[in-house]
Amino acid sequence: MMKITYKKYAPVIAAAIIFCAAGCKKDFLDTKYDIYATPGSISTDRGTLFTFAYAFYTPLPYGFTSLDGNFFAAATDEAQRAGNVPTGTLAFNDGTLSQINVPADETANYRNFYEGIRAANFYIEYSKNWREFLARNRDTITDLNYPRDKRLVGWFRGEARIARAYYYAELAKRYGGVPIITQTLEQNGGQVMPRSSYDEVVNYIVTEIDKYKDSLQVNWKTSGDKDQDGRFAKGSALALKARVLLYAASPLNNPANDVTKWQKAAEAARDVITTTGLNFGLYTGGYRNYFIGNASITSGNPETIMAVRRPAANTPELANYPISTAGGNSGISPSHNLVADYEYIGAPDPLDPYKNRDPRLAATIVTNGSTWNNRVIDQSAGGSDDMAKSNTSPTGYYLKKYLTDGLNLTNNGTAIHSWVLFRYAEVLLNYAEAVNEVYGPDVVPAGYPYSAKEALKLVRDRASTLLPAITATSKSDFRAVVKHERRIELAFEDHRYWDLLRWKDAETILAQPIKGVKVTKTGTDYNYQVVNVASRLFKKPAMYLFPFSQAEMVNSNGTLVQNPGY
Amino acid sequence: MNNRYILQLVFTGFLLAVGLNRTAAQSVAAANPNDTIAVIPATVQGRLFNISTLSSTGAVSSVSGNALQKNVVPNLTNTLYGLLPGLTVTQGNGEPSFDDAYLAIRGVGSYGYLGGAGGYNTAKIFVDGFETNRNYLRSFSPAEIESISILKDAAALSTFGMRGANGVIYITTKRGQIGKPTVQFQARTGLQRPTNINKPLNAYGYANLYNQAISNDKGNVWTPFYTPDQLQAYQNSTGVNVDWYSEVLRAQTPYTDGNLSFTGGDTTTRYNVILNYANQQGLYDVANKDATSNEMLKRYNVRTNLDFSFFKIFEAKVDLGGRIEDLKSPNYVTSRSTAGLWDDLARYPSNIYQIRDGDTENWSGTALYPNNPVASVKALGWASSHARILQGNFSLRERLDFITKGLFLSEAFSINSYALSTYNKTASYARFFNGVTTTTAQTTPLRATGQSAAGQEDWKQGTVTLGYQRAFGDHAITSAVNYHESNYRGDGVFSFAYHYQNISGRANYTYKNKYVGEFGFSYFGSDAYAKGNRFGFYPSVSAAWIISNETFLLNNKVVNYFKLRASVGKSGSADTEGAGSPVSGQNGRFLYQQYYNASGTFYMGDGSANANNSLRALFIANPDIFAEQSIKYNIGADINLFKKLNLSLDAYMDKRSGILTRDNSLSASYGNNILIRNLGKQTNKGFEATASYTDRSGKLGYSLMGMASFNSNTIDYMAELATAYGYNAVTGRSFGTPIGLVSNGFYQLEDFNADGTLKAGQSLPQFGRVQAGDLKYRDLDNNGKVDDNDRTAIGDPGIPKLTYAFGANINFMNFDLGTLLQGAGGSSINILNYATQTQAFVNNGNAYEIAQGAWAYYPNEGIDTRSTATYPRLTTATNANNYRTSSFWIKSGNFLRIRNIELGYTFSARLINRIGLSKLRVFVNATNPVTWSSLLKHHHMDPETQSGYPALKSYNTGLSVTF
Repeated sequence: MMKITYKKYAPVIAAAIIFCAAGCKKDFLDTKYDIYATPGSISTDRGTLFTFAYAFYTPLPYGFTSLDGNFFAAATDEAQRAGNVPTGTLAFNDGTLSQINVPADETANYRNFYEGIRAANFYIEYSKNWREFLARNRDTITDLNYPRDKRLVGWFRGEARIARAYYYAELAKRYGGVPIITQTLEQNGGQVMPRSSYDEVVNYIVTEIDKYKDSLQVNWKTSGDKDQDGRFAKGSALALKARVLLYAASPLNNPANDVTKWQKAAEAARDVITTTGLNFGLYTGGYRNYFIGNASITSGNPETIMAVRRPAANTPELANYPISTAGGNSGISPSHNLVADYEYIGAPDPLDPYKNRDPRLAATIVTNGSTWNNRVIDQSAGGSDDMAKSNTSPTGYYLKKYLTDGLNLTNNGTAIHSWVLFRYAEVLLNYAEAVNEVYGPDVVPAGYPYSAKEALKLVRDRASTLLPAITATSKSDFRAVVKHERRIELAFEDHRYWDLLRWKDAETILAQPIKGVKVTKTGTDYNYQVVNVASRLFKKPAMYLFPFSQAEMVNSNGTLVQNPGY
Repeated sequence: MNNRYILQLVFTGFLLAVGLNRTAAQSVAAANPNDTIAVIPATVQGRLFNISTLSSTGAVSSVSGNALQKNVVPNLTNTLYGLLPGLTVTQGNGEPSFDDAYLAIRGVGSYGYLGGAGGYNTAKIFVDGFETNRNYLRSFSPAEIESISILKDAAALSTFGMRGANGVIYITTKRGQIGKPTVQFQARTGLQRPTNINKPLNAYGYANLYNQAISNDKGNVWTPFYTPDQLQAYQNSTGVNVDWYSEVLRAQTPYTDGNLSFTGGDTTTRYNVILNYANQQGLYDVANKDATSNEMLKRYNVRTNLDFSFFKIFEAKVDLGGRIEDLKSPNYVTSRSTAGLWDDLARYPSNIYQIRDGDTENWSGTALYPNNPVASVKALGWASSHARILQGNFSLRERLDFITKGLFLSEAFSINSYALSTYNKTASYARFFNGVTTTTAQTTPLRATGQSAAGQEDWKQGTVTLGYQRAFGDHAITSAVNYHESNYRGDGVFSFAYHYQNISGRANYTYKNKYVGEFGFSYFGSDAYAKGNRFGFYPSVSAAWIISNETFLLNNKVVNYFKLRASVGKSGSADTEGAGSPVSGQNGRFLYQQYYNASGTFYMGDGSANANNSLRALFIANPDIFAEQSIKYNIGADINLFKKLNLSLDAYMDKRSGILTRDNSLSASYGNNILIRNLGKQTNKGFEATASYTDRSGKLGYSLMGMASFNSNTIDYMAELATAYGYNAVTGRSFGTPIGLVSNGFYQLEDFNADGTLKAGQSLPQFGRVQAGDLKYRDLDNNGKVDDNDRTAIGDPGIPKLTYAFGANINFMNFDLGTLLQGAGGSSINILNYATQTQAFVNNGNAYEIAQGAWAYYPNEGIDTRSTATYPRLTTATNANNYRTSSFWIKSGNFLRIRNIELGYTFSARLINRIGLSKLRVFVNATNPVTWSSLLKHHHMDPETQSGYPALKSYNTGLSVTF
């Protein structure tokens, strides 16, 4: 009996054993999730030498949406936000920037700039064996793409260094000294690097640029790889260096006014002008045209040193067209403080204060009585843009620079908007400012192409040859002239705030009320009454630097030292 | 015994009766004919083996399948209200096939389950020992179910390893018993209606408030949009005033279900075959014909459970459970659901247009309100889907008494297959307004759009068990070890396999029926983790002391049964979405593996912007990532007094650690990289109590029951981004606690200067310019500004802390009457989340009764609600100050519902035996008929289903026959 049962049972126990043996396969738990690239899959994909490089470019700033979805200008004396002032802008306007009140855009910037640095660090490590990688699995003789790949990737190696330097420059102008990280931080939650000093950061940037400036394409626009324009090149690296050294020589960072710092800044600016092969010049198609459409990013334009491109869109127009234009939101309303600073090129017209002005006014700002979006802007009571309507411009001005005229927003009309990071006019003004501080306005130093005044005049003449002649002969008088010229020429290009900081002028200028004009009409004549539109506050000395956010301070466990005053 | 549910609890020599018998002859004698009351079953369901109630050391609550029949609903999850202490069941919407209730065992033990449609509903579901998912649970018929148990503590969950941390819903299906063949039939039919619909204001009410809103926006100057003539027309019904809800919906809709079962068997073969059919119609007022269809669910269930005994030592089981679910609805669907239509119904004002444009047959529609709700159900054709589900379990058990007495081996295999396909017949219509078309849509005729697959999954599992059960004198041992292998594969976002292996075991030792000790373990491996780091060991120990079997209590007249239990043990949770996980739907798997994906675009080109996708790390790979861990402590007592009163009490604590969490403490100098780590910690505490009392007095038998479950959790650590102040933080509070501003009345005219600025001395709100009638908030940090740093906890989490239920069953002569009420407490609802109903006019929306309490002051028009306002001033724009999470919008979610009432009549056996029946019962039933809730009373919102397709109540009749 027992035997019979056992025999019957044998196959079953055998089946159980087989079942278990089949199931207990050692790799049963080795499942895969194959939607994304893995270290294994990228190791055979030489395209990653390109895609990982693009990653250190994506965090580049795009100034059309840098603060609360709009230009940074509303944080300065250039403009006031129409309607409810968003919280990020308010932190600057009200001087309430603090550890617990860092605008979301700046928290994101801090992270994004370090994201760019991390991507650059990663690329430098990842592409170590790039030559061998590019040659792998292809016939390097017959494959026609191979030489081009080799060329482009070789440059990416240098660009990674410059991109990293660029992000450090952006961080330093906000925070002063920041932690310098030159390799990817491996996963290690506790590791927080201490801040380097501002001078160390500047020194790091300059050293990197000097070391790698010759590993870069000289000028994409004049090269055989025009389609790669938008990447860093020797010209943009030198322009970056010139800007960084100018900031480092400025009163905020050079309180003892060490003239050798100005000297370095002057030399760096000179190099952008004189280095062979760069061939930068001023655009001759008109100041207004430079900023609209694709003018600034075509290879025929010698002024652009580097620009951030985006596909055609209408975000700036949606944000800044007058509210009375269908789809518009008024947005950035230029201040009368700025408008008043545009010079006259003829006798003032008592009836029209906007007549006979520096043509850059009409190219930058929509003034009352001018034509914009296919209508004459009339801000008087009952007019097309009656200021009593809600969400109209509080200052009596609308933004024009960068905006294409007459886009049909309800039909989703779009235009190209490129954010120029470096252009030749800025280099000339950097040059004028630095050279003046070392040599005065009229000296052409040995080995230099222009005197400070001549460089400045190039910029002014491009705007209009009718502008009053510069008569300043002293360093300090000319300093005021350069400051004025930067305000006008570089309006809304996100230079103003940082210029005021580095000149240490912010505590006076950013504390003055924003002015606007109240427009009334008698008969067919407009009357303009200058009024205060909004008060401003600048908390000194704290606001000369940004505060690190509360979260960042807590996360650093005391490693990070907060900027003074916060 | 057949399928009759007879429970006899044999406790060491005496019978503790919870007599339950469904035969006609005995039903009158039984106190509790309807099983609504939670009874103490003879055995406690568990993994590897069931064990006698006496020897059980775990916290398990159970309910019989028959008890679930009291809620006449098609979705099993909606039958569980108030029956299982420790299970929070929150009603969802009522749309056929999308009406899952939210289920949580012992509340929210971990905040780490944020992804997926199920939210944190991650209790695992096992059917007859094999894991299944909610697709399978939803469409169970109660007729198939012997019992549902909720496994709650470390002892009950000891063998589940990484499936155990959030509890297990353990279902056993009905099996055949030795006896003559029995046929049972039940049919029910009824009418369903919404528990509640919050209707918007009519055209007159809407227009009146709109005039206020637009005037408020224009500097508080009375500038009405609607003229007095228009208002007059709305009032006397000559203006456009469409009640969209009445036009689209029918008042009530039929529901029918029926089941037929055959059961019986002998010593060699036993069978239980169940056929079930359910037909639920939707609420739409549209004919079922070629071109249109009401929403309807038709479901067919077949279950065949067979048992074979042969060659003396073998026992085999063959269980096949299959379903076909056909769902059809008007073709206004997103992911098969018509939820979008309910959004339109709630959002479209009454005065936008007539249903048909002018005197034509053309459907009205505008660019702003393009989807005419009536046309949505009548002019778009229909959509249908077909789900096919099959679970097949096969097992063979060998008694190895010839080796040693009590030894057995068993092998089992399960396949579970699910496939969903769709088939539509679609049409479209041109939108007209005042005789012209307003959108690009064209009228197209009905056409079939073919069949397409819409998802499938299959699940293969196998187990091998070696067990040993024996009693020697005072000693009794029940033990088993088991190997379980699971292989799940689906498609869509789960286009990868889920594999796990589990070696587990339990050993229960009972001494003299007084002292019980149990040890359990699981050695569990999941494919979600790095090689070498896949397995975890999860032990548990538990004990019980049956005090009533001590000599000093033996034969005590008061205390018949008194057991104390205690357990402690470890369990885990794998495959859970990490909080802040970069990849939704990845369920926190493969975080050890470095992945790269396209992220961000770099543009370059000569005069153009050519896109170049960049590649970057998806997250920072973490090779140490592992399953979340839970340590559970439980103490409990089971008591019977006077042979009539049953009490069961449990108190527990669950300490979670290693909850997958984004490490926000990573310095921003890491860039945007995301690192997920096992960081989070949470503590969950609570208690459960149930009591039932059963007695009879003459011809009147009655039983009463009540239960309450309370739990409260605290997030101990979640790597939260540092907040400005401690009181802004989520850490230290219960999961889901609303954090917002503290509302402090309305701004009044006196608060402002003549130029509209706030007078000095008041904190300045940072959410845009305020005017009289706007909400005022407390400036908690007294810095002169009201901003996000003034937020704090302003209510309870949305998931109730307390759920309770009570009920009664009475029988008198041949009548029986039973009812169950269930309620919840300690929950808050942020009504701002239901913006369509609460944010009047915003985004061209509608206005509801709540907006009639708006602050307004237009003395010339006779409008002045300054002192009586219950709602901020109206606006036609979005308003960042008023429509912001604050205590103003937090309302109590507490409620009490009658879940069911049933009155039955059982014909006497004498009468029906003559026509060949052994039992005949007819009944009337009301499911979900009444709700008490302040939210419902004051804001017309159902406390559990605040928006969308409403929850349903129903009135039904039925009969059950046993041949």
